[in-house]
Amino acid sequence: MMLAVMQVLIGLGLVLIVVLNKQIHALRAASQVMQTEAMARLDRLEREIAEMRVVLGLPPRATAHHWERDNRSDGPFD
Amino acid sequence: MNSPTQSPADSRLLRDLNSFLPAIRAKLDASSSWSGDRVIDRAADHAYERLACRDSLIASDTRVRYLVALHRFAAPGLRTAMHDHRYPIAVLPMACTGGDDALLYRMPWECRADGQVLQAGVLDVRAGIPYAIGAPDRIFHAVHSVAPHLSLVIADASSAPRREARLPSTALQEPAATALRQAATEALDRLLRVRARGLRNSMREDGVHACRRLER
Repeated sequence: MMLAVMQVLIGLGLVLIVVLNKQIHALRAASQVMQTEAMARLDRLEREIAEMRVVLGLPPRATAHHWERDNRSDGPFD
Repeated sequence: MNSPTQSPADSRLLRDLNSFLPAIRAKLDASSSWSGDRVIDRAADHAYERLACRDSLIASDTRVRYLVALHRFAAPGLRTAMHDHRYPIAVLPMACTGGDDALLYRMPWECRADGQVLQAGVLDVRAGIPYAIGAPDRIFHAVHSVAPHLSLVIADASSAPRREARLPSTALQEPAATALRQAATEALDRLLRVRARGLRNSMREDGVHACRRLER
């Protein structure tokens, strides 16, 4: 009797482990998708903000960049 | 990446190109910062005009150094050979005339390693939709022009170029250099206006949806 109960408990435990493992994988995949979507949305928003600054006649964000004199003339883009 | 990408989520080059567009537009007003050349590609039996910025654009957060240039491919029927580039690049294609989304050129590409072609494809390049080639040591491409176009190009020159320059060039004389800068400015302005109009429309639609939700 005890042996049968133990076997059932071990069986249930194994099933629980398999189910939880699947859930963890599903959650990981879902969070990856959400992260990718959030990154794409952030990119879109940043681009739209930059374009709205042009439409509104505002200067580009001052901290994002600066220009440095270079004077290369060796066809960098070919 | 083993292919050209049009996804900003996958490419820092594309994200930087998008965020620096206003700065590059503002820079175009400074005529002394730009030099014009006529670049000759004998293999493809054609030439194109290049407006190169004398200054590098430095991204403050990453310290990446970008070279900036605008190219005009005015001749019809251009078909270049498959070629690589010296630096990782991002390209914003623009129509010489006409609106956003027009097909400008078809771009066959190959990902090569050890002389073998690992992947290949053809990208339809449309006005206003940028792409990046982040691995110039592996990605080769060709341009099969459909319509006259301009390309705004940024190149990540933080590292040394992977080979010497291969295309000879001659300086553009005035008034051709000024005309090229004006054409590039107009094309970029037109593209930004089209994008802003699309943005305003989508914001208006969002507002309408929000009002409808509130009315329910």
